[in-house]
Amino acid sequence: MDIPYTTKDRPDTGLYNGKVGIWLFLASEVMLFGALFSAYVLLRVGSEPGTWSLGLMNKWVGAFNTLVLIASSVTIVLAWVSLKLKDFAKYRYWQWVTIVFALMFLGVKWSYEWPAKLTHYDITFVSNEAAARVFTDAAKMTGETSYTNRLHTAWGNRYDPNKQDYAKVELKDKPLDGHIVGYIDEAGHEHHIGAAFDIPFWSHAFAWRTTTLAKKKVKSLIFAPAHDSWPAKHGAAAGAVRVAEAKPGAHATGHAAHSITVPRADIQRLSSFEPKHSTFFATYYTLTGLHALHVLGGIIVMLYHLLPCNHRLWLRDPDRFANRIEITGLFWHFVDLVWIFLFPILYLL
Amino acid sequence: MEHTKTHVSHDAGHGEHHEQSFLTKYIFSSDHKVIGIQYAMCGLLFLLFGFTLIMAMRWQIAKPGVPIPILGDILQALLGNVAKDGTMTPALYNTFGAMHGTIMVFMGIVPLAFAGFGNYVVPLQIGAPDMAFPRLNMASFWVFFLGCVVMFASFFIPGGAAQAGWTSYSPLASVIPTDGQVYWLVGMVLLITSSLLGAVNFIATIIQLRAPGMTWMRLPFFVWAQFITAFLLLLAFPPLEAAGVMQLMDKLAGTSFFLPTGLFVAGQPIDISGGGSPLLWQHLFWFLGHPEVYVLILPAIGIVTEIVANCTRRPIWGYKVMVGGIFVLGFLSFIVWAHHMYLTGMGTKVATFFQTTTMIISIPSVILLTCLFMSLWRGSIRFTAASLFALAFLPMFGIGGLTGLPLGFNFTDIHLHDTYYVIAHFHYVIAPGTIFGLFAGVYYWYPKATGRKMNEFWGKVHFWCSLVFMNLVFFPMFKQGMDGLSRRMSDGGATYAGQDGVLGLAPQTISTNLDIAYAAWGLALAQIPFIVNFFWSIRNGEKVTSDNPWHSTTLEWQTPTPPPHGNFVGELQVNHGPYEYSHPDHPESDYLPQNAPATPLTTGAKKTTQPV
Ligand code: HEM
Ligand SMILES: [Cu+2]
Repeated sequence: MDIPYTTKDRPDTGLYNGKVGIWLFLASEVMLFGALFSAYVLLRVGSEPGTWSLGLMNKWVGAFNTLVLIASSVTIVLAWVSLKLKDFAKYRYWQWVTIVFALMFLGVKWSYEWPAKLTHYDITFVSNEAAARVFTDAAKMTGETSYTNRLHTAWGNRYDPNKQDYAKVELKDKPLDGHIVGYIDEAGHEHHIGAAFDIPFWSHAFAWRTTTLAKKKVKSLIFAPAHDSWPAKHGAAAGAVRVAEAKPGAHATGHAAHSITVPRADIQRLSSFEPKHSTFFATYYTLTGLHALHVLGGIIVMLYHLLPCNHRLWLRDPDRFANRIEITGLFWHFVDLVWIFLFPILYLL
Repeated sequence: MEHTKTHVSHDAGHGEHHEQSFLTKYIFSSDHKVIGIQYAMCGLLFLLFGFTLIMAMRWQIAKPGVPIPILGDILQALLGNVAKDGTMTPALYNTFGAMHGTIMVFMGIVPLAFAGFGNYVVPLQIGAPDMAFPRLNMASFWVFFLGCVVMFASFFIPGGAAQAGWTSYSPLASVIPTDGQVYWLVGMVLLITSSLLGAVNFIATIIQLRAPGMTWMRLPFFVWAQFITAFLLLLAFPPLEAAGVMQLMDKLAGTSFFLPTGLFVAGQPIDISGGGSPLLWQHLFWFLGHPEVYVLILPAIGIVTEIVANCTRRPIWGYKVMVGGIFVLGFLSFIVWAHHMYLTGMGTKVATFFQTTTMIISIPSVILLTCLFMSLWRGSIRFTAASLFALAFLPMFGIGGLTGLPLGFNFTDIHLHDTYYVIAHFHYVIAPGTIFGLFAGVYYWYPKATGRKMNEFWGKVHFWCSLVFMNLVFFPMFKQGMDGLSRRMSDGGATYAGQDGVLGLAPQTISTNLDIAYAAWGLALAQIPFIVNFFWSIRNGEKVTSDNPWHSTTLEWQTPTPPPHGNFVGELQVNHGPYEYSHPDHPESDYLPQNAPATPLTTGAKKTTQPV
């Protein structure tokens, strides 16, 4: 039994079945991401001052990934065009290039963007006094006596680009962000990055929460405030400091100069930039995660089209195979388009 | 007519097929008819299962705290402490309530009405050899099946299945500490994915695979109904999928999409960031939820239309108007959702907007119903089990629809919201409405699938008993609701009992629960003739003597019985509209199949020269 119009266009609609199918599927995808975008708008509009961390993203990395995806959208068209020109070798070449671009996109997310966030912490405080003490320590580390200016810029850049909300948020609710370098337990022992931490792979404390402090019997945290806002006095380059922190044993000089201790009693909430951190990060991970799954799906389909059985299909029924690549391309353009919306709303606006 | 060549050459095509094994023929089949039957059987089973859940619940609210006879012991053995001593604890009541709704809607009616009948009938009615994407079709069924397995399994995990209603409102759904909700969400994501794949397939099939001559205005109305339904699923389901993913994040990753700042649970602040919006869930849910109710009703209207034309032996009155009406209905169903949310404090301006659109949407509903009633006018109606169910659908759906209007006005909804009145309203549309339509469809198409008719006598017994008991079950709920009885109370309102119905619920409002329980037992017994008839007739029913036992015009009856893989034998050319019954130019027979040769006598002969 043959299904009509699997390869040839139906005369009155001018389309073959697969093309109708993919457009319909994309319509539903538009509704899926549309709903998520609406959620983003609603949550953002309803968010209270000091809860939408828009200033945290690394725009350049985002922009790089945007370019990578746009390029991959071009190369997949080239793959399809090659098939139309009956050049299977060229097709293979461009299809592989597309896959490499796609992997690059995911690689940046997986190995840099997400881990960098999951190891970066915000601390908020039990009281304004506690906050003032800690911020003063941080300021001292930079060689200043008052924290006000630095906090103003640090907090303002992240939460308040229009400089309206500073006064509206209490000091204790303005987070100090940075890395956990180590901790002192209730018995007074010091622990440092490495053995004491759960996942050495990231070489930073990973996914700690407020409850972790109790579980590990932490008395105070050894904390390195983010270097761009709180540069240590001796002017060490940020990168160097992070490396120093990362190496077990290297802490002795490392953290002494670039970190402060924060008593657990002062900490109201400790959260890395994980989904649970805030509705901003919840939205960020859900949107980019779902998008990344689409990218992954695309990669799998593209790899499938490079299998030998599909070469045989090409030899048997070239039009049909070219149609499949065209459909994959349409899907891929959509994935690209979603990112083109995601990039500004999560990184720029 | 060049493309007809590719179209129907199944005899040759069929020969190529090697003997299929049992597994590929009946289990992992990509034949739309087998898949349709698989869906339909699952749907029927889950309808029965969902019904059993509600029977246990009706016992509980009729006799709060009294052990359920027989079933209670089984529940205790299976579920343990939630059914302590064979009674139904409030937690179990909540579980059954949530799962009853979910199962009936997403695992009962949608699979039976949309996927089951749709799969079996649509390709046949448009003259296609199969669905446009047969393997996708199979995938869609198995994803659905997996979703059902997850849902069903959730009854047996510690803490039991979901408890927060079929609407799963957050924060409640997110903070109940058991895993039932997680299963529910995963199950829903699977069921939704399956529906999306199905919807793509249906729309593509109807657009692409209509046989030569099957123009849009020659489509049987059932196909139109499925077409619009598929669009509703395609566009309304993804937002719920998005919401499901977000609620899953709330459950598993601790996010606060739907959890507000400062949320306390059991007197304790919970460890979340807050900043989310419970209303967001409701918007996303009802953005699906309202179109979903049309997903439930439209296939039934389609079935009823087919049967009304067939049993009155007259063309459908206002076919084109109905097609227009169903389009308007489909479109408007996307902009009425917040009439479920009048009491959430979303604001009066918003409420006014949705009140207006809700009133407007009742117009196309009334048009559809009116056309069907008009079609009965002066018809010499043949009363069969199928046609009785189809005819009863009309007034029952009418009652359901009309009682929706007081819910659609904000000022009356303030009193009626979340009472048994709402329960009565939507059950009138779905139970004696949709489910009657589906029964009609089963009796009507059974001979096509099996080659035998179901027993007419027992079919009529099934019909009359169901009609009486359905009304006895649901009609009193209107009154209970107007008296102020809230839905979802595990003691049937006993907590709020009062002397006179002023300071509390009147005694008869509560005692009605017992009357309803009796009626529900009647309804349960009334289904026995159907179940027995259904299975008995597979082997013992009256054999049909022709492929077209109901003398119908539409194409599904112009195939062998049951239709072979690939459906049609020989070339297919459609020359006639869908309902050319009692055609004045053709006195020799009271029906003209759509593929009958175009004779010069036909008034519509000019149409036949049109291309596809
Ligand atoms: C055409 C006229 C209709 C109108 C004006 C209408 C109106 C409404 C309104 C306003 C509500 C919300 C009541 C409340 O919660 O206070 C409601 C609930 C409901 N309606 Fe309808 N409706 C109509 C038709 C239908 C149809 C055709 C179906 C299904 C086949 C349906 C199924 C439902 C369901 C399932 C609910 C309850 C949902 C829940 O809260 O669990 N309705 N209806
Ligand atoms: Cu509604």
